[in-house]
Amino acid sequence: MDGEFVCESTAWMTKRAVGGGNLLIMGATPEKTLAATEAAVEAMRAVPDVIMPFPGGIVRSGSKVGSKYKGASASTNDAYCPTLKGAVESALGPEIGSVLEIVIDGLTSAAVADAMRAGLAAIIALGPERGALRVGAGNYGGKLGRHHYRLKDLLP
Amino acid sequence: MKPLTFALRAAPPQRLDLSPLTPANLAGKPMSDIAGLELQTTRERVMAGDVFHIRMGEADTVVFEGGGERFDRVGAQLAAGTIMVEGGVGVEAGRAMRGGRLTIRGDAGAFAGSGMKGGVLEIAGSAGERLAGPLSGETIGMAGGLLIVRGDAGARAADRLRRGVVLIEGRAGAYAGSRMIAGTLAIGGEAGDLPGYLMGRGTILLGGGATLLSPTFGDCGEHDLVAARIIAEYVARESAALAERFRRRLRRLAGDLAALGKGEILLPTA
Amino acid sequence: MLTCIKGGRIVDPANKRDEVGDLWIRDDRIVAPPQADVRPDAIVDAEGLIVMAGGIDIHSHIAGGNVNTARLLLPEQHRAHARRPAATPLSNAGWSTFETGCLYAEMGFTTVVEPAVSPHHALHAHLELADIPIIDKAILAILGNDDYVLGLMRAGEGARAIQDHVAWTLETTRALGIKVINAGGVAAFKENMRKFSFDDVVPSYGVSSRGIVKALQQAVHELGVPHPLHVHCNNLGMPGNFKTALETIGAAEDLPLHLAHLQFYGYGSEGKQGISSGAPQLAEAINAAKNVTIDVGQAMFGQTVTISSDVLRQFSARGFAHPKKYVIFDGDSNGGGIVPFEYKAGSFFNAVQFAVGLELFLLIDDPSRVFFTTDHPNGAPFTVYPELFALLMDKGLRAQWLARVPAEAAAMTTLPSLTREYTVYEIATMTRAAPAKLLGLSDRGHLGAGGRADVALYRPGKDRAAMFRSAARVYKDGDLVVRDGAVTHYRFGRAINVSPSVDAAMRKRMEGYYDARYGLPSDFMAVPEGAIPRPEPFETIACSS
Repeated sequence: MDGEFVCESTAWMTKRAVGGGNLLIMGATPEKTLAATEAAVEAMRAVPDVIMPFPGGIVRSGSKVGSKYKGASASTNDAYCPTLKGAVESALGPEIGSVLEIVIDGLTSAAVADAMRAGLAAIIALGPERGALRVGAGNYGGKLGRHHYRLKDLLP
Repeated sequence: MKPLTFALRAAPPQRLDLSPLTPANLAGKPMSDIAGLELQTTRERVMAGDVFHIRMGEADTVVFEGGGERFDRVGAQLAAGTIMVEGGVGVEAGRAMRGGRLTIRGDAGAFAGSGMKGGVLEIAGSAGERLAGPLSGETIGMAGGLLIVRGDAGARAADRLRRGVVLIEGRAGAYAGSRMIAGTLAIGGEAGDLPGYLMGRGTILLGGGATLLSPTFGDCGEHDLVAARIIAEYVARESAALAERFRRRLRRLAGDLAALGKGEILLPTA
Repeated sequence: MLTCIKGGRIVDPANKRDEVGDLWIRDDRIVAPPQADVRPDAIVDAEGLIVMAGGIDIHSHIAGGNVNTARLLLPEQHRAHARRPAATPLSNAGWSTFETGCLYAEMGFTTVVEPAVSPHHALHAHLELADIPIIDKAILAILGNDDYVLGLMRAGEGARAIQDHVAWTLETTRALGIKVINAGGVAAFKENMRKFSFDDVVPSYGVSSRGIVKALQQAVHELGVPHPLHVHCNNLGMPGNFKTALETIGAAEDLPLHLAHLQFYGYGSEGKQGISSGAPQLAEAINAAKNVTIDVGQAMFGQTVTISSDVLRQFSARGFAHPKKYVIFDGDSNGGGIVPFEYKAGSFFNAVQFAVGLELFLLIDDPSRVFFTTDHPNGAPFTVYPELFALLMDKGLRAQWLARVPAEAAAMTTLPSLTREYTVYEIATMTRAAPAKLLGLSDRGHLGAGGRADVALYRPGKDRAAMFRSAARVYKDGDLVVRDGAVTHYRFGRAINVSPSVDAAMRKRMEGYYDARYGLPSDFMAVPEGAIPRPEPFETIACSS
């Protein structure tokens, strides 16, 4: 098997940080969506005090808060699954064929907002022809936490 | 290594239950014991020696020279070894087999591979109705293994499929994959009406579409599915034609939404 | 035709006989030994054999809508029963009416009661029973969850009206008695109640289970029907339910009452698993209440199917179905529930159930008040009777069986400490003399002069199960039907019923009721004599009043 698993042997912890900020990048094909997402992650890495904790900064199988089972606190984000469009109440139109997510953890709420702003700018710069058709974010009716980031306020 | 061979003398006088003629049941038996195995399905007694000219060999491989639609339950309960039929068979070929390989050069009747749990069943010709399906009263059909039909399959192929892979290179009758619980069914040619009727989970690939699709499947659009490419690798070992269909861009229909609805029909795009 | 069965050990508890002697049969009756110079037409050498009256099973689900629904639900059971065609005279499905009659006869049973027939299904049940060869049959009609009885009680019409209705039901359905199944509970189920105890009240009718049981018990008693009300209590199968059975016994006061398949009510709720034996408490109460009789409904390990008109109970048990399929139908009156089930020796709960049944057999002193049943097929199919007889007669065998179950489960019961062993005489009491008395069948269950010539001969041996599985000879109405455990002669028995006098006004009322509610004549489920194309298909026994 190829590749190494790399992580910090010692990690500092703080309970005053903000976790779970996110962007949902929606595009016509996996290739275009990935291009937009990679551009966003690259821009966001330049922002101080934030990390994008998933491999490459990108989440492929994203989850939502809550599920129909008591024991599971999260489950498939079915409204944003392109392959479930016909089976569930979907948030996606017929033009969307791929959805990727970037999750952002930051030391402060402002840092998370800055990262999201940088990411949005990069996605918009790439444009709908080569990159994403839509961008969204989820707080799941407030269930994810008290911090709210309104994308319209973060536009470049 | 010479196989143990049963050469048909003449058309049998009645339907035969050939389930006793499996490698496990024949191993170590002398010719006289094998010739005395009872195969009748009516009150008229028929023994293996009456119907077949038996040529002794390693019981690990059993060959039937000749066949016909009166050859019922060939390879039933097969657990290991190989059975080859140089002709067609009747009902319940490979019924509840658990391992080994059963190859049928001709056509198979109804309930081929019914309730099979493992092993490989290959039918070079066509299969009758309820391929891999449960017998009446049973709650699940095929629960494992690999079943390949090179020709066409009758109605209700893979009914209540629970696990395993069913590959049909030709066409399938109505209600293919009805009430599927899980598992994979791939059909190369056109399927009949309402494939995946009341399926709960599992995957059906319709290589040649269907005469009528149920409105209770939801269109999820066209996708490049990683899982389908993995299935293609597996299928390629047995059927290049079907593997090619899995590698195409696939339209995914989710359903049957009239039942649990976690299954899918995949339609390759041109 | 005069036959002498010579030199057998005659075990006839009804006449307090257990001695070697001759038994004389003239045609279809047992006769007193004739004078010395009379020569019999046939002499049967019974030396070394045990001679008993034909066995009587008072509670076995052998016919009716629910049994047939079970057959439809489980077609694989037919396959499992199917013998290789070469071994059968005719290719024959298993679990059939034909097989039912033959298997009972081969065990020496000659009379069997189907204890749960919805009145509306009576005609069908009788037609099906008529298809069972050799044995005599009877049905009990179900009342107590039906709109008519509950309606009479709601309207406060009093004991007389209920009595008239019971009489009308018995006559119309040609039943031998009345059964009540989870009195009121099934009616309450229709109103979405999922638990129902003895003092709970049926919504819309305002009557309690206690009220229904007492009203029907009274009615059956006043009509002089020999068989007392046959009660299937509330809370079947629930841990702690021995208290429900105790309440029901208490409510019987001094009138006769029969509790069916008491094993299913013999559970305490002690221990970590919340299930223990309540059999000692029940046995103590029954030993004290001389007016109460019970049958056991023994559970034995293996695959079976539970068939019951206790829809509330069957609905709550549907999750335990094995194989995973069931039928529950919330139909008129009691409806029905069919849930296949496998009793496993390794299961704590099933092991306690197994032990509780045996405890009841062994702790109730009087074998004439405890009846031998498995509630076929709910505890086990009746084909396990021989094994069960052997268990009752052999404490060593019981110890072997107990070794197979979880030790902690056995410890929740008193079974390991019980040393009683049934004698052949006690078995004959329990399966012959006592059931005949309980059902009011004066010419059955004994070997005295005038008795019906239903006789079973057994060959005693070390393997008691083998002895009871294959009777050496069985006579039904004087006809030799079984030799060496195999049926040799097919004939048909009768259906036994009571026919109390029916009030003309009640007939009129029922006509009005069925016309208004169903748009049907009230005799749509009636069982006319001509329904069964055979001479004398019915035998009516007298009521005491």
